[in-house]
Amino acid sequence: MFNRWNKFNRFLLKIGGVLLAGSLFLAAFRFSPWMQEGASEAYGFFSSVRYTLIDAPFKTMASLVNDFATLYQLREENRRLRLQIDLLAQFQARLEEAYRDIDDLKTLNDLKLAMTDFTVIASTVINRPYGTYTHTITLDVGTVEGVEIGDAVINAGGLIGKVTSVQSHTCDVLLLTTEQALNKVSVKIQLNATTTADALLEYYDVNRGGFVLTLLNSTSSITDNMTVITSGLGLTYPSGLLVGWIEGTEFETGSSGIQILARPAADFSKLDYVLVVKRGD
Amino acid sequence: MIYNVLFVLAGFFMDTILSLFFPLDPALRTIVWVPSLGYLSFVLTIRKRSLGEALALGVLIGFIVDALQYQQPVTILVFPLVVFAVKNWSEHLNDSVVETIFIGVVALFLRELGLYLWFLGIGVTRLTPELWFAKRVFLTLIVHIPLLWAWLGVNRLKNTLVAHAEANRRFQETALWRPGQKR
Repeated sequence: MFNRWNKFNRFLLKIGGVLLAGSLFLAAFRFSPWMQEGASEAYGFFSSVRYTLIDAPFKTMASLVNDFATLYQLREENRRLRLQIDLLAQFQARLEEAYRDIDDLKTLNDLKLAMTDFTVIASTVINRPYGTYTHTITLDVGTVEGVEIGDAVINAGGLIGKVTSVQSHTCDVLLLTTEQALNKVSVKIQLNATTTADALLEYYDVNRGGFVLTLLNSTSSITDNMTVITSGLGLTYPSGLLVGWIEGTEFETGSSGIQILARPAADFSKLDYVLVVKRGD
Repeated sequence: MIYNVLFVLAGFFMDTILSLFFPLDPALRTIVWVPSLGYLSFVLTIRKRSLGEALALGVLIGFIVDALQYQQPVTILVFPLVVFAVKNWSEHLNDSVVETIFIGVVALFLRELGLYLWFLGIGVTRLTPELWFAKRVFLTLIVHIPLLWAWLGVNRLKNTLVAHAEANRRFQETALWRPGQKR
């Protein structure tokens, strides 16, 4: 059978063999950090090429078509927004006053940093999951723009993940939808306007469609639709980033305490533009 | 060969466009469908190739898909396995539209099963088989039936072009023959 193969088929087979061996080699050595970085760089190169040649032009076209299609809708939205803008000056004055209060309090308490202080870096997603098994996205910002490993990433809805590796102009973000317990977040549940209960976001339960939270204080009374925000205690994320809402109050006693489910605030299917959040310095 | 390559590339190109309009939700809070015209183009193409060539193509395309999408060697292993199944089964089927769509849907299911088992095996997902089928596979299979039916039109066009190219090549073939000269 092999003798009957023409030159092209033999060439194809050789290429296939080399690629298979190369892929398995990379997979086998992924446990080594420097090989992991090398593989990430190599795969990142392919992603960049695809984004530049295919994704970016089509995204631009799709957004142009969408802009035209929603023109009428935008006029109505614009009218509503104009009404809100009139109130904006009042809100801004109150906010500035609140900032002044915070600064005064920090000075009084000799604090350099509040957990709510953060700066953001705007970025575009250049590679997002095509399937539902991969939970890593690639952004077009890296060390040059000031991104560091562990920085939080949010979109319009809320917290979506954290930076896990950084290159000079790109970085990889592990989404909170990962089912592996690799992305734990210290959160707090807002019981009312002034009281919160501390909890730990363990992982995303794909079968129940929500984040699994472990309550750190079992005496708190948790009800449906309570807001879940970051607490800033893990020293990774600043506090106050929206994570989700309590969904159902079915308590389960896991190995580490009482567990409860929260539905995500962020829409993970809309990951075109995101913000990298850096804790203030 | 070039027409086959262009056909498969066109499929993957269509997938990219479709995925821009129907983005997937990695949180799987809704039912999703995974655009797979590129993969189906590959399945249609390998039906006419030898097993060895189909396997080599499976590895090649699997590598490219891994590099662009999964960033780990998964389809490079799954695609050759699908090639085995499709090639063996194709021998018992005709080229009718219904049978082609049927084998396409089965190939899609096999790929999804391969991916699911891989990611379940390495601990990336805890999705139960029922939810895997309900939330990911069902709609993917259903949506691809009409899409594949339409895509078969492109496949016929490709086959016509391949036949024309082959006829042209044969027409232009010349053989040196000199009377009295022993070959």
